[in-house]
Amino acid sequence: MMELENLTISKALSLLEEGEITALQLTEFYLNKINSSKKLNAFCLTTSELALKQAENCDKIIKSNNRGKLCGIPIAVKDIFCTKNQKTQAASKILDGFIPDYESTVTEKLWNENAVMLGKLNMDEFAMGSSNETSIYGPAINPWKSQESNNNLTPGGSSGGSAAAVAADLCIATMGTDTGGSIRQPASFNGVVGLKPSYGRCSRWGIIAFASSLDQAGPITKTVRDSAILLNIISGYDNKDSTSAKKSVPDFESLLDSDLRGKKIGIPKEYLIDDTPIEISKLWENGKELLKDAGAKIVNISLPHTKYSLPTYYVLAPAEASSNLARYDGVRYGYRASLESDGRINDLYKITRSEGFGDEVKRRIMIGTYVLSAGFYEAYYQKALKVRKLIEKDFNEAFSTGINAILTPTTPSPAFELNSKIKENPVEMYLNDIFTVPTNLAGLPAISIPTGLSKNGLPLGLQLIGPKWGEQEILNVAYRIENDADFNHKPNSWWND
Amino acid sequence: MSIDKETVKKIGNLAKIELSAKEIDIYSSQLTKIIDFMNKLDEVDTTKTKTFSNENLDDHTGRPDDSVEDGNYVDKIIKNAPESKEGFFTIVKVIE
Repeated sequence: MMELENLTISKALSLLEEGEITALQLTEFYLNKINSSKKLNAFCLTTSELALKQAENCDKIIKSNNRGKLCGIPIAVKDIFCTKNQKTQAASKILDGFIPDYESTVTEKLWNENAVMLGKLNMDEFAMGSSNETSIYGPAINPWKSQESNNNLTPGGSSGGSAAAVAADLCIATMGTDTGGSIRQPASFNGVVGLKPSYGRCSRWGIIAFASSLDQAGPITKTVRDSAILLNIISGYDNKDSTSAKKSVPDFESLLDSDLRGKKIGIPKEYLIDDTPIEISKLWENGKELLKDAGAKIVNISLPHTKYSLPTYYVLAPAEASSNLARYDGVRYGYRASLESDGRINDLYKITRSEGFGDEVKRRIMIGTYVLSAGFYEAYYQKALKVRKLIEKDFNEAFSTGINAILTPTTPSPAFELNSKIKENPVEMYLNDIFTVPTNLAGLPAISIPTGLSKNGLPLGLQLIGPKWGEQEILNVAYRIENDADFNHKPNSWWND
Repeated sequence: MSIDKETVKKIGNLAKIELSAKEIDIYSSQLTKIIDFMNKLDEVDTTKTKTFSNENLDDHTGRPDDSVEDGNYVDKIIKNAPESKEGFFTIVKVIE
């Protein structure tokens, strides 16, 4: 049989079309790998029966004209996407046993193109976390190991399972969501590509809501081309989501162009933070050099409100979360607490929510409730909305000078050890999102691509931020960086049973 | 600014989350740290700044007409309820 390891979407599509492999072979190959990679805890549900059925169908239609654009491509999706008749819990106890009767728009678009669904991927509870440690299923594990220690590393969060599954080659590609960096930070920690589209590019319908004005779905893939292929499919207006944009969708894949001559790349000075590790600043320098060599012009820019992004985010995201998560009351779906015989309706709500939500989710609901409460609404929530406006303005002004994309590191460090962040101070964990949060606040597209290794042999990523609707710009620059940086490292497969 | 235990209890009540004495202690200290972190926003002069809103995002579509296009699937909805009876969600008694 053909060598099936490390296939990309584009390669697998041509092998399937040429009849070199069948969809069933490919699906069985991945199902076996998922089964023997339980140590990574990347999947919280494997949908083998459905996958095999879909694959058999793909093999029947592969030669016909009505086959979809992803015919036979095995994909898995984050547990935050509602999937029809398949358990969906956003890795929370409070959605215990929830089986949606509908499919999210983004995932429906994948299955309509005959992608094969392998299962659901582990994540931080309700996408609230940067390390996967808030999942009810326990954290997914990063397939990479530091050269200095055998301890398990975080795959990042919240789409940690989605990134770990791609890095460990348990599927061809995955779908994640990004509210403050939840696609890009895990992609960077796992040495894979992760793309957050512009706010409004994709429908949020059927994605379990965390912070509605920030949430956006996007692909995690092995190559930039694969991200372009998936973005083509998931983009577009949906009348079920009033924030999805009536905007024409370019053919991102066919427009991929690595010629960067004449392009201007902005370097924001505010992203050089105190105590940036040398390996991160060096990675950034290398990125700049590479782009210069490719004919792009490097321009220093300023985004003066950058340092206020994290506090702004940690007011607004919890505020929206406290409102969105008010629906979990133990009445209509999911977990319900058992009450004493004299329990009242308020006890039902309070005990259900106390037992059903994990610590981080409770903390964020409480923060959100506080900043929205009488007496604090203006001081925190309104204030943060104003600073958000200034952050958006910074980016608009930078792009109005003719910048094509902005280059930054994706994360301030490589993947860290699980259980290593100080639990007493949640702010320490929040600092992880320092380079990724501003783009969510401004609604801009951004992509993370692996370009180097840390001194301990762990992957590091660079981030490209584009203007609103400028996915093509960042895909093109990323395409060139991918080619020239030639990151071809893979983790050693220690996790096989 | 410190988030004292009374404030934590009040927030827990508003958020409908039951908190143990130990949790009240922990949250009091953690929420204080988070709020301190947020207070950095006071440095920014926003007197002339408008608030950000999604209406400001170009090319968004606004709300569509609120028309009913489907329905009649009580069974499908009830199927996910922790407790139900004759097509209704059931809860604990609320009338004294």
